[in-house]
Amino acid sequence: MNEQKIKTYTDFVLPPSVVTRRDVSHLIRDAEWVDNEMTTAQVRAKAGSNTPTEAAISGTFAEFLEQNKLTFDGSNERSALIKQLQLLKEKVPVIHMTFAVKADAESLQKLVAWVRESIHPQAVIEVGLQPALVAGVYLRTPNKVHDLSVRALLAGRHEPLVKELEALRGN
Amino acid sequence: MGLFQSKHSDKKSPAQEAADVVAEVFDDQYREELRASGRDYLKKVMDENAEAIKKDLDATVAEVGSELKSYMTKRLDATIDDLNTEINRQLNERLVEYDRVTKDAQDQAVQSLNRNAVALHEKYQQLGQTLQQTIASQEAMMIGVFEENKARMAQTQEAQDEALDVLEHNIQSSQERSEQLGATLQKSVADQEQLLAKIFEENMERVNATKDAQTKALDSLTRSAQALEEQHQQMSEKLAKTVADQETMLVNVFEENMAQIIEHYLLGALGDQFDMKAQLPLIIGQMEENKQTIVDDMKL
Repeated sequence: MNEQKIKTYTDFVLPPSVVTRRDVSHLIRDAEWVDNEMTTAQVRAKAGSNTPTEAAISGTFAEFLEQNKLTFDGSNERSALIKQLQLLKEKVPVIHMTFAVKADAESLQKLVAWVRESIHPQAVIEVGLQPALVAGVYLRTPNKVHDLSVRALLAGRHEPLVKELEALRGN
Repeated sequence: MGLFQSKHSDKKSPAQEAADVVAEVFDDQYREELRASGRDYLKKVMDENAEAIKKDLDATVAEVGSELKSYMTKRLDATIDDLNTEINRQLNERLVEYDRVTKDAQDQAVQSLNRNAVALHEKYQQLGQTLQQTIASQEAMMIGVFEENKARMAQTQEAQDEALDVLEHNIQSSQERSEQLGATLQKSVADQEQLLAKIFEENMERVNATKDAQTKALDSLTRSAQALEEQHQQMSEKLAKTVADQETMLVNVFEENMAQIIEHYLLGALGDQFDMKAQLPLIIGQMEENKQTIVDDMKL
């Protein structure tokens, strides 16, 4: 419990299934829902109701709690955690990635794992689709743009092709 | 009736016997023969009557037709006579009216002609009088004019005589002036000859100057033509060079476009070949190459 008290959003470890900022929003929504359910259960318990009111915690949120070694029992703990999650949603670093094809969940999780390992441990990505890129990724960080697509790769290599054509013409 | 019944006996009465005889004689066969005979007789009588009726009817129809024809002819003749009478009457009335109107118009025309003739006669008389008066006045005027012209002619004759005198005097003075003019003319001719000679000399100088100027101009033209020829040659060389440059540029543009076409083709061909899982190593590899830049930007 003492360990939990000193945790802020900067200490949170995001599970691989949390890929985008929307997933963070889902975490907050799940936390709020569970909090409501548990508060309701407490009120009913005080009122003497015998209805079972155990709240079901979703897989991602449970994974988040487990990875961060958090409990979600006390009302104050829940409120603090929800507040920290909201702060996390506001402050979380976002990398925009535009792909040439639709990205599947598994690939996105691999990508976000690499990003958290190499760039920032709490980074999330925002996914876009642009078929004109052919392949690769068009990456946008807060201040820079990295065109790592095949289109950009080929665009800088006109000259060799032109030289080849010139050589053919010379022959 | 009861009385007769009480007196009933086996002996038949004559009437009864006759009835029996009749019943025996007039049996069904005989009756049928009688009916057939009756029918034949009736048919014969009817045929005869029908023939007679037909003849009578034909005769009646012929007679009625004849009478109808005669009657219609008479009625038609009477109607035609009536129509002719009516038409003649109306025509006569119209002719009478026409004659009356024509006569009235003729009378009016005659009266108008008479009035015109009278007016014409009056105008003729007035014109005659006017003409006589005019002729008389013309004669008087002509006489006056003749007299005036006569006096004028006399005055003119006198003036002509005076003019002749003046002319003779003028001829003499003219001769004198002519002589003076001849002398003056000779002097002027001499002066003109001198002046012309002087002008000729000046003109000769000018002609020589013009010839020099023409010679210079020809030289200048020759030089200009040479310069133009040189310019033409230079422009031809430049044009040839420009054409060669354009050709080279077009070939370069073509090669560039061809490169783009090939690239586009490659992009189109490759785009469908890679799904996200296949691209993942490439993406991670490229991100790895740019890792430091991304990290630095995220830290800012």
